[in-house]
Amino acid sequence: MIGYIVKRLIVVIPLLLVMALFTFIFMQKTAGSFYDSLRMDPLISQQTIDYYENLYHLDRPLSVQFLHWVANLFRLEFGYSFYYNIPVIHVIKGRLWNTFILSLASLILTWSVALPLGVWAALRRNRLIDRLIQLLSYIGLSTPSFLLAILLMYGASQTGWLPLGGMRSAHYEELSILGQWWDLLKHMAIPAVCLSVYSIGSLQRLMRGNMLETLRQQYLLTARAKGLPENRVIYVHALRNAVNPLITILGYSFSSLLSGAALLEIIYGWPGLGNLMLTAVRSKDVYLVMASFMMSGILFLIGNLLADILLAKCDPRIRYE
Amino acid sequence: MNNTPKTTNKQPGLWGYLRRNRLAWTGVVILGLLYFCAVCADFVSPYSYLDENRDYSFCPPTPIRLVDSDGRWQRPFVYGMTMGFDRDYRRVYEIDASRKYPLRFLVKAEPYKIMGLIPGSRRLFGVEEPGRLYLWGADSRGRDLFSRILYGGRVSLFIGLIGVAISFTIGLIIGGIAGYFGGKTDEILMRMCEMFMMVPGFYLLLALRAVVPPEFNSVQVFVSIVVILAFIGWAGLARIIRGMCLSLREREYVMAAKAMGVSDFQIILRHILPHTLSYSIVAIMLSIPSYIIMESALSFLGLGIQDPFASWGNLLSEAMGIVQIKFAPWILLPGLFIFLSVMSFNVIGDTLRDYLDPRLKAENRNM
Amino acid sequence: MLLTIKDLSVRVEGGGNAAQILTGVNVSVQPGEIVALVGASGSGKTTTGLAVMRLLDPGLRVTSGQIGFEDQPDLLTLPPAAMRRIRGSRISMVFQDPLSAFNPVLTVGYQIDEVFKYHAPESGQRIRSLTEGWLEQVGIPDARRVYSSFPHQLSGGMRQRAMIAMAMAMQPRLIIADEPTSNLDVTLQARILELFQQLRKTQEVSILFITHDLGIVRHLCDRVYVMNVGMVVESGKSVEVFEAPKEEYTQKLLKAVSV
Repeated sequence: MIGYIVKRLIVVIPLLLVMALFTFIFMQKTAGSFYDSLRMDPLISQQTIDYYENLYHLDRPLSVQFLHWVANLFRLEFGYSFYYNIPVIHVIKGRLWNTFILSLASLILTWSVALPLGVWAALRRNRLIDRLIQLLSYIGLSTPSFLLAILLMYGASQTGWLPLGGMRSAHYEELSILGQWWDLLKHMAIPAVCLSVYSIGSLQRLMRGNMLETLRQQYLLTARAKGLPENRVIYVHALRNAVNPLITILGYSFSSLLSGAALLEIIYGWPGLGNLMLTAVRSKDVYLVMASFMMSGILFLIGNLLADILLAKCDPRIRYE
Repeated sequence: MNNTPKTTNKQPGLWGYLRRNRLAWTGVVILGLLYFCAVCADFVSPYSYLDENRDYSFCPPTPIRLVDSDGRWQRPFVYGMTMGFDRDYRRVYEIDASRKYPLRFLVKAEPYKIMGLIPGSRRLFGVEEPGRLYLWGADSRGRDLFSRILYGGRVSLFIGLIGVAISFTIGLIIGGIAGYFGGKTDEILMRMCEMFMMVPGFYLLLALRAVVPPEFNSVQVFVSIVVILAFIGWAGLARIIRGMCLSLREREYVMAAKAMGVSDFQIILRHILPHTLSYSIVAIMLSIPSYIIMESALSFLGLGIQDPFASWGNLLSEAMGIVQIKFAPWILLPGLFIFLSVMSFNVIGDTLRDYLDPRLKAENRNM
Repeated sequence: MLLTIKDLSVRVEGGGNAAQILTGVNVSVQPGEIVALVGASGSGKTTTGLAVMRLLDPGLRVTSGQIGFEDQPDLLTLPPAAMRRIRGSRISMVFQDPLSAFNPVLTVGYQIDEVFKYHAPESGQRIRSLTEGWLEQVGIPDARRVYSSFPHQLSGGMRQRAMIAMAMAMQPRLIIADEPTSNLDVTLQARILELFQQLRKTQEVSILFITHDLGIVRHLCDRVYVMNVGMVVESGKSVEVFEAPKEEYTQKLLKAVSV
């Protein structure tokens, strides 16, 4: 199994390098004039500018600069955010966690809704409930997440049931631990739901398809021939096989999960990585833009890796290759 | 060199199949209508997208009436609207029954050119100034939402088509080469594909968007957005095409062609690519929605198409001030159009795939 | 008489004339007998076997017939729960392709254990040793290792033996074997057939052997039923049928194989 993980890593690491390269080239396009405009900004001390010019060796040839850039990454030195006036690492730290928990919440929501729906639809193929679920999936797949967000936020503003933005209420500090969790959950509700609607639709269809495929398999006949109750045949024998291919896809879905989360963070005002990246792009905060971009790649890498480990655990055919 | 018969059996069945599936057929009709209106927006809409009138900011829809206040039947007309303020300084519009503006057809208007080619100067319907016809209400600057939505369709719908056309071309070339030659070429190209697919799209979108110089004018911004979207999207299509090519090159007629010394290029062109056609169309149909949504999202955030040009995304950005929705719910309409077009593409694509799948399996079996 | 299939007819639900799968099939099996159901593909032999287990495709319907087994007058009228208790414990099945017949994500041992778990749950802790015992009985040397193995890790022959172990676990009175050796090469085939013979002797289990291969029938089976297009065309002691086939179809069959 370790071998499998290593093999997967070998694929993703070049990706990060390419992202780093792209990031770096982009910086070259804008860095020159960037530093000039920085010098004119009274809020930024000359000291800071000198420090970073030195750090990135802007006077040396490009290839050397790139090596320094990568080396700095390893030292967790991501540059300076001129918009926030503090080193980038301090800005990014908190944001990563926020994006992570939002994505995780969406993932849990997606899987706990889509799988049962998919199984149900497969078992009641072509009957009313199946058709209904299929229709709902289509709608879920076709509704832009930001549109849904606006609608839900409007609903929230009219009913007052859920907060309208941000991650914490103003009085967060005064709440009990339970209260804090509840507050977090309430804030997460709208963005997580909007984030999940599309993936529930798509995952449900996959589950249904896999399940239908699995239900035709020979080993189910064997299981029945052994006298096993139908429940066991379906939920142990069939389901375990039907789910495996979905876990394969789990890894790749992280990419769209992070993407979608970014958009929703921006609309809802959730203080995450995507939100940060937009601010950075708008204010042309070069280092922040690049660090956010790299971070998204790393977040993806971690998620993908976890999914691969999960897959190896679930599918013995992979474990023992 | 004869191509093996491929589509003659399928074509008659396809339209019939689509028609029978009510959902899919509705989708076809909707898309047809939307694209038609988008192309002929100049003609179909009563106002140009630039036509604004601050006196009518957020004016509610003006219903077309047939019976006037005295209960008499009239030719279709619209009442004038006067703007006033209520106690909370919110705008309120009252109907002014004293001013009647009849609905006119083939109204004369400012000259325009459909798609920059066909000149015209009449619009399908409208009312005479100073009357205003707001079928679906007005936006913050008093611009007719109905017209703006039609014009917006141009951007939103065609970015989808153009973007997909570029992605598909790139994907076809790369996927075709990878699938046909196999081996090392395939591996390298597929690794590249994987990389593109792995980067979270939205972040890449933002990063690339940041590279676009600020001095670009609207058309250039439009082009760069299309290019960026295509840049993100080609990988998925390339993989699909590569998969198809990989299985096709094992077919007997390909081997026969090779044995006869036909060049690789010719083989790819004449024997392999035509067979990928049907599945490619499905893949294309199913990709267009993501372009539409991504463009809308970008414009919604203010990073895409800018005012005064209309795209469904940037029309929706007015709804970001959530409070507005209560008083001007019609600003959500562009969202409905995004939804309808995306859903139509999805349904049609799926139906096509269902249609092709059993055939595909049968084809494979016969080989 | 252990098993009596009387006048069994099966048709496809809602089909036309071509939909009659079985017509008036009569088959019987004595305790300790090995009986063959022979025929070409589509002759209905597999359907007959599945009908006994009441595991027919949902689209098929039994239109007439009775299946008597042991003291049960008619399996076809049993309530589903009662039928489930019989499946796997009194009657079990062995299938043609052990790779697709086993669940790929569960270990072989687990799948055999399941039989005990559902038919003899009181065995509790002893289940594992019972399973390993059966694996040894069917001629698998390293029972421990095979117990924890996944189906794809075993060789074809071992897989088939494991399937037979699974079928024998609860010491059924009847095993329905549907082309159990058709996927194996000749040497393995011979071994498996030997195993069946051995089991018949030591366990006193009857076997309903479904096959298209006449060579096996002659060597292994006591009696044979020849089937064609859903009907039994000839039956009798294996020796008699082979020496002096009465029906034309049987003669053709024999000639084709030149047994």
